[in-house]
Amino acid sequence: MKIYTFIIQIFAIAILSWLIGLVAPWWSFVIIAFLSGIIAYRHGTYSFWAGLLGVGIYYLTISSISSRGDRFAFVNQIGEVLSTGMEKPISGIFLLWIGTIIFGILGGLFALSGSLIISNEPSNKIGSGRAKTKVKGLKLDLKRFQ
Amino acid sequence: MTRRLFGLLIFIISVIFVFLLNSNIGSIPPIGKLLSPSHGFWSNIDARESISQKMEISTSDGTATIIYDENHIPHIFADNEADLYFAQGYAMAQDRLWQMEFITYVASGRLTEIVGEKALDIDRYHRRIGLKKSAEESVALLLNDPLTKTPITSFTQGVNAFIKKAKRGNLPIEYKLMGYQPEEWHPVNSALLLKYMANDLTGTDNDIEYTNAIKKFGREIFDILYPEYPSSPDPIIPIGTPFHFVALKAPLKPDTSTMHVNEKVAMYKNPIKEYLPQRGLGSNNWVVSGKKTSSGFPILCNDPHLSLTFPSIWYEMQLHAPGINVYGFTLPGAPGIVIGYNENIAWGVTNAGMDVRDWYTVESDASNEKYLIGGKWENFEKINETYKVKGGKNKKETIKWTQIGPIVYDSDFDTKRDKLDLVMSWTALKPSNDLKTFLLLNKAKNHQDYLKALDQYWCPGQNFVYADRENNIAIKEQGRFWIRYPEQGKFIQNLKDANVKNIQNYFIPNQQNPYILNPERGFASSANQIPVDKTYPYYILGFQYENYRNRRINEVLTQQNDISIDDMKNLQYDNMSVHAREALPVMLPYIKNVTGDAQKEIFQKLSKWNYIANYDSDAASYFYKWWDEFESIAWDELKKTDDADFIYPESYTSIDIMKNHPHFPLFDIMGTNKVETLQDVLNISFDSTVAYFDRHPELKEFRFYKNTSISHLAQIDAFSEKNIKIGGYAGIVNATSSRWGASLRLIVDFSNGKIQGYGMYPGGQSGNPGSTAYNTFVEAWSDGKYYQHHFYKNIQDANNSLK
Repeated sequence: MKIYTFIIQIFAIAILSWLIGLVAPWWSFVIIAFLSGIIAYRHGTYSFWAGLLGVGIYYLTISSISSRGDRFAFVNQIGEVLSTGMEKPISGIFLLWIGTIIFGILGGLFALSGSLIISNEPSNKIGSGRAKTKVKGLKLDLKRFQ
Repeated sequence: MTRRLFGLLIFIISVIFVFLLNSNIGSIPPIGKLLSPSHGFWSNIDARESISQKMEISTSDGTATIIYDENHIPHIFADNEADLYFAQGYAMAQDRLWQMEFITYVASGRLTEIVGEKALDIDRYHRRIGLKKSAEESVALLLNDPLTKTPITSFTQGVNAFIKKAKRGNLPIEYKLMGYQPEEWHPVNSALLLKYMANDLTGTDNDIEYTNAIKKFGREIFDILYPEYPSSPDPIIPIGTPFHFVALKAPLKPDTSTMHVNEKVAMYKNPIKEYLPQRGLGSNNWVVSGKKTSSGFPILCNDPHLSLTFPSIWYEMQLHAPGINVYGFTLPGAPGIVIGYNENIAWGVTNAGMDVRDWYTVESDASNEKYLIGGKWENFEKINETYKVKGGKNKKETIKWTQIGPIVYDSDFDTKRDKLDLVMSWTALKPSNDLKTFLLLNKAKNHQDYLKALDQYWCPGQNFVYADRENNIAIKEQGRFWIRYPEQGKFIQNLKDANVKNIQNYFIPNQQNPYILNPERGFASSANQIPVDKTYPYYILGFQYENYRNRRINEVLTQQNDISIDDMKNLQYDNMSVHAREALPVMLPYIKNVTGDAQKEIFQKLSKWNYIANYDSDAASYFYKWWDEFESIAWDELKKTDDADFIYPESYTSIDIMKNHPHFPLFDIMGTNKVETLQDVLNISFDSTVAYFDRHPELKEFRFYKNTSISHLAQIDAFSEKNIKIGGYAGIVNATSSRWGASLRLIVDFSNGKIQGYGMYPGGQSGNPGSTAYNTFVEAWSDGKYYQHHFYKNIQDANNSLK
């Protein structure tokens, strides 16, 4: 496995998540993430990170383009609306990142579950091991690319 | 296998996570959907609406073209009326869908479905006053009349075409924040909207307050507090204009008609007063004939004062098809144009302020099935209502209807009291096709067409001002107004004495409503004042006659000649406070012993004030604060109590009382050992005004004192604007108080046979807070600027403007 296939997978998830969102409900990106886990890569940890980064890029790109320049004022207004009753209003930047994280994690989890469900590898190697220690897992696996 | 199970477990947990993010949890909307970059609030950010553009709409059986100008005002061109109104519905929904639908939720008493339990009382009130029932009966009239059938059905189809598209793509932000979906649009929604406007403009009266007052203070004091005619009236139909008609006879007064003589009735209090249409609503319109303008052609002006809201109450557009070319403002949710002009005529409206809502006590039999009316026992009609409450249990109730209207207040609605039930009779509840008037005006060619159009009009009574290319000007107060015996409808009446036929059908004939064509003085105007002098052969009763703006407008128009468009702009923004001009010379001489710098400063500022209430005036803040303090101390007996509602006298009446009755017994302050006089009241209120500004020096500038705000309809602060930099106040021609003001300003110039409109309104064409067209006009509106309308002759003309 080369690093570029991993990168391609990330961008494929990002682009397809955006495309499916144009015609299907808001949660349709999870289908892309799930399928990516099934089709593209059977390694749980990579799938998780590909899903997380792919969906995260999709989220960050579309929301940043939508709210570029002066238009970000509206994101701050939404933050104000959502912080009714709170002492300090939620900022637009916070919304941008919390959205990216929530959507990214969802993407990661669906990609991971797709990859695990399709895989025949014994569980002790990947499922319960590396998936639990994701960061460590990624570091280890990245070494393999070299 | 374990690995797969583990995968399945993660999958299930993730699906549950998605499910939760897709659900309403309490008042929290589906967060996942809201945050989605493709479907959430991000996709409501829209900057395209400030660009001129062209759009083709596929209608049911053809196409229509919409050309948006630089202000995002749609100019619709179609080959026939069906396509025209389809496109109007589509364009309106595209910019204002949430607002259109939200108002129908309010009017039909369904707010609990979207905001939960907290809206239950307001919903119950709106169902009890019967707007929905009346809209359902009215829509049958609209659909049976060939003139309104096509507009209303095509408009509905257009709205639904947009809803279908929006549901697939992008909904207005409010749906996402409140977590609901638009329903299919029905013709009854348009009827509901018109009935809701009738509620906004005539849904208030003083029957309960007057009954309480006359019981508490007696006739003599009552008549001083609430005279039927102002002491210096300037009616819409100039004083001395003869009425050349034979009036129909007034009904006979029953022996026990007014409840103030019936000791069985205790004081009444309205349980949800704060939700009712508020005083302060009003409007100005006037028209100047060519005799008085520099061009030699008429100029027509209109500025309706309504709640300042986002999205704006009005939506501006041009409609063009064979046989119709009209430009103006309309209410989101109904076809046609409500205020505007076509190639031949222009018209505008102000509220008539006639009392068209009466209250009756009702006596039921032991079984609560029958009620006594006009000496006979009749069965109640019972309507079962279910309130679906978001996040709570449904509530059910039965509303009882009599022949003349529903029981609005009973022990079930107002549990604190054990009083007689109150039935409401209201002309707005009668099925009516008021839309027809506007659709006929849209196509009217001359003065006869204008009168014919007005003949259809029922409620809310309006003063329709008129001008045409032939240099005619006119004004008519039109609505259906009861023929009454003196004081009928002023107090709570008794249903057992009611004459059902009269209540249902005895109205002043249309041709006898106040009307004048080409008045000698060269202008006609209205500003919610009393319409006629005492020589008018019918008894008339208003619920809030104004007596400042009308006199100021007439004073300026009388003085001016060679009137230009700029003169008219200046008059719409005129900040002269006639209230202060008449009150301060009476109030200031009573102030003795002005000591201390703060007192001296305020006293001197008020003494030297030119009565112009500009946004940066401090004297205006001092005066209006002093006036409020004065009213609250002088009329302490008229404050609402736990048991009863009262009402302050009109401010011009208070000035009369100060001038003519300095020892009026109500000037005595309750709960003190001393007997206070006007002198005491004015000094105490002056001192508290000084103390107030000592505590709040930041509120000395008038704009901060009055805090003109434009609030989002759902009270979302982030989508509202506060402390807008604008002068004026209630009772001033520029009637911008804290929550009300000119909801649009329109000037139509007929110079050289060409019609040119100028306008401005406090908002923007788009209802989307994420759009650049949401609040486009607010700053220019507060600065007194106008934009020139593009009133295209045809589609080629409009196309050329895009190049």
